[in-house]
Amino acid sequence: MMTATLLMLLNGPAHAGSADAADHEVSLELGTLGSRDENFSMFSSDGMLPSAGGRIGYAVMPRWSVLADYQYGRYGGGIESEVIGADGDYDYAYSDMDLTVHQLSIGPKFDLPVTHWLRPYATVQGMGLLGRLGFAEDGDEDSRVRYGDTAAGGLAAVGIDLVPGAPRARLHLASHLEMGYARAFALDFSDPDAGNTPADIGDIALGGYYLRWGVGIRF
Amino acid sequence: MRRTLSTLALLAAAGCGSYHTFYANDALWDPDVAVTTDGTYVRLPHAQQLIRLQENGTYVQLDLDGATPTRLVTTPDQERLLVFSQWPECKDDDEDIELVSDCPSDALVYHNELSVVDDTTVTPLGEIAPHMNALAFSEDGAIAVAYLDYENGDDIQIDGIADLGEVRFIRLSDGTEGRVSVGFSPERILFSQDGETAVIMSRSVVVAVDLETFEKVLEAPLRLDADDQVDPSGAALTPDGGTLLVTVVGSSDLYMLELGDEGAYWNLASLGAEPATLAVDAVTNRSVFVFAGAAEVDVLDNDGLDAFSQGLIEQITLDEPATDILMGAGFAVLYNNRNINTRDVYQLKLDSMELVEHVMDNPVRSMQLTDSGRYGVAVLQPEDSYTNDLDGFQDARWGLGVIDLASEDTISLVTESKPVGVALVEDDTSSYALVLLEGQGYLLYVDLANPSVPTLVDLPAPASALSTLPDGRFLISHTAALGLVSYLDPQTLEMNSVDGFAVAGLLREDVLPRRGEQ
Repeated sequence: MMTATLLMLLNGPAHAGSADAADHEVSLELGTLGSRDENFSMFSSDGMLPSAGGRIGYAVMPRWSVLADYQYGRYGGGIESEVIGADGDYDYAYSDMDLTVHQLSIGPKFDLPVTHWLRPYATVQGMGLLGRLGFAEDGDEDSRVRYGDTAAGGLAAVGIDLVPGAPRARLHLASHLEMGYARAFALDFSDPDAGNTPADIGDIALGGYYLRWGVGIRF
Repeated sequence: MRRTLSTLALLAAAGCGSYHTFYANDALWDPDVAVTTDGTYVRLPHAQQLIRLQENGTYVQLDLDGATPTRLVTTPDQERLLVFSQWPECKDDDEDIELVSDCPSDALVYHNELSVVDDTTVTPLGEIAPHMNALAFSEDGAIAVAYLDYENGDDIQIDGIADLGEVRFIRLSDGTEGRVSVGFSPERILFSQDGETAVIMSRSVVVAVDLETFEKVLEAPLRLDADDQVDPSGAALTPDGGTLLVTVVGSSDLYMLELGDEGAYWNLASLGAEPATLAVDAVTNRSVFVFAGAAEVDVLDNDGLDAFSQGLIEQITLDEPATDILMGAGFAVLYNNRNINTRDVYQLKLDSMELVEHVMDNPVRSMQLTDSGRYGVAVLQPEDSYTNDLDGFQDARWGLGVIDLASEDTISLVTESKPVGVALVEDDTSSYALVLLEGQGYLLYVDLANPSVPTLVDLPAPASALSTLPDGRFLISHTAALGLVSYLDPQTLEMNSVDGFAVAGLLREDVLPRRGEQ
């Protein structure tokens, strides 16, 4: 019974998958976040970090939809630094460090379908970032301190939607590949508990070229 | 292709996050902190910043105008801080050059400067020659004297041309300064007790400088022939400031410069051997000399120096040579920290010339006296051991020696590891030693009247340094990457720790400071 229902959803007559190619969509994504900021090298040696998330598209008119995308990345790492010990002798110590980024973007998407299953698109989106920076002595969670900041930005991207299956099916499995460029104001971290004047820890400007791949459904 | 593979690998790793280790070139903080009456100043070498830390965990980043603090020195009254710092200048005016790494190496120069910090207010005192690596202070701490200490000059830098014999006097209240060239390799700077004169020893000459005008008022050669080379090894002023005692390298001669109103002149005396060091006692007005190469101590009666005769020097034989002196009120404690085959510590009472010998179980590495002079506390170092018995066990280990100079009792204790910090505390009734041991997560609190039963005070992390706060409490620096210090009240043993301050400025960029300034 369930199988029959699923087949009906996938193949049955519907308005979805029209030649105008503006479907509602829900997708899960894997991707990258990039940055050219020198401070980003503390978290990545090649200026790119992985992210995971998802996007929701809502068709508002033929070829046009509104796309909302969320990406999450948590970049654990460590700092190996000198520790000046007794009698001035040097040793090395390790401390934990992590950067958590929540990125939410929203904006219009314009489809340029070649066939019903191959649909290039372009999108521009406004973007909001929430960054959390954490430090802890090696293995000592009690010592962990966290600092946060938000920033705004935007992105522009092009991509390809692959929507296999019968054109008139109500529900389609789909996949997409998107690449683009994002710019945002820097996440400026400070320690508000340092005193009357928050202590400046430094900033990280996220942005740059990115790549995302996703799978989901169209309906 | 490589980029694509890297991206695909990142995509594969997405969802479980990524892991990356950042290798900092420097320590995030320097546990050798500077303590003043208004707080604790900490250098952050990686962030190239200076912060002032408060006991409640708050901290302030000081504005050094882009300069990197390289060394901190507290004035003797602990009211102010002197900061040696360095800042980069790119001689290339290209507007695209913003970071230090953008600047061509042949256009990058570094400037060294000295600043005084008073309650986080930074007052630049101007550029200072990079080779000037040492500071001395007048008795009242009002005047700082910068000079080259070659013995501690690991990395002596010369910009263009430098006078290595120049000494720079700086009045800290207003920044006025004077520069005096005092000859080759100035090493020892003494201040008269009236605060009017500084006496500087350099190769073959002694120079006196007026601290009001910063003018040279006396230059007394230590040689008769210009071809001779006489390097001072030790110096002291007698309590009345009337005589400068100078010992020299490779000689048993004692040079005595009389600084009377009628003019300066030298007297020369002969000691038992080349002195290892000398010290002066103000209570008995006697000077004491010890020798690495001779088992004796010489005592000079300073009262008769205006009509000096060799008979003013009394020679007392010891069982073993001594190389160092701690001066109490009316007595001297002599010990040897250069020879690991000696264990004797001597108490010499300067009024009666009575000598008391204390034999420690291990050689002495360092020693301190309590303020009252009642106790001597020594760090004992391991020595070669050729036996497997209890003596051999103790010989092979670090320890702590406690000498009751009143009862003349001595005890040598074995410690779990090397003592890296010893501080002595006294109140009206009791005397204590606080001892930090290398790599240990506790502090030894030793009642010097009953040293065999110390109290162990737990620490949040092993300690690396111990400083005394102006209010009599102690500051313990710990071996923690992100910064950890503890404030310890020696009376109650209450401890308050502050951590995590080394993250300040951690995400820094090497922006060129003072760009475009004249």
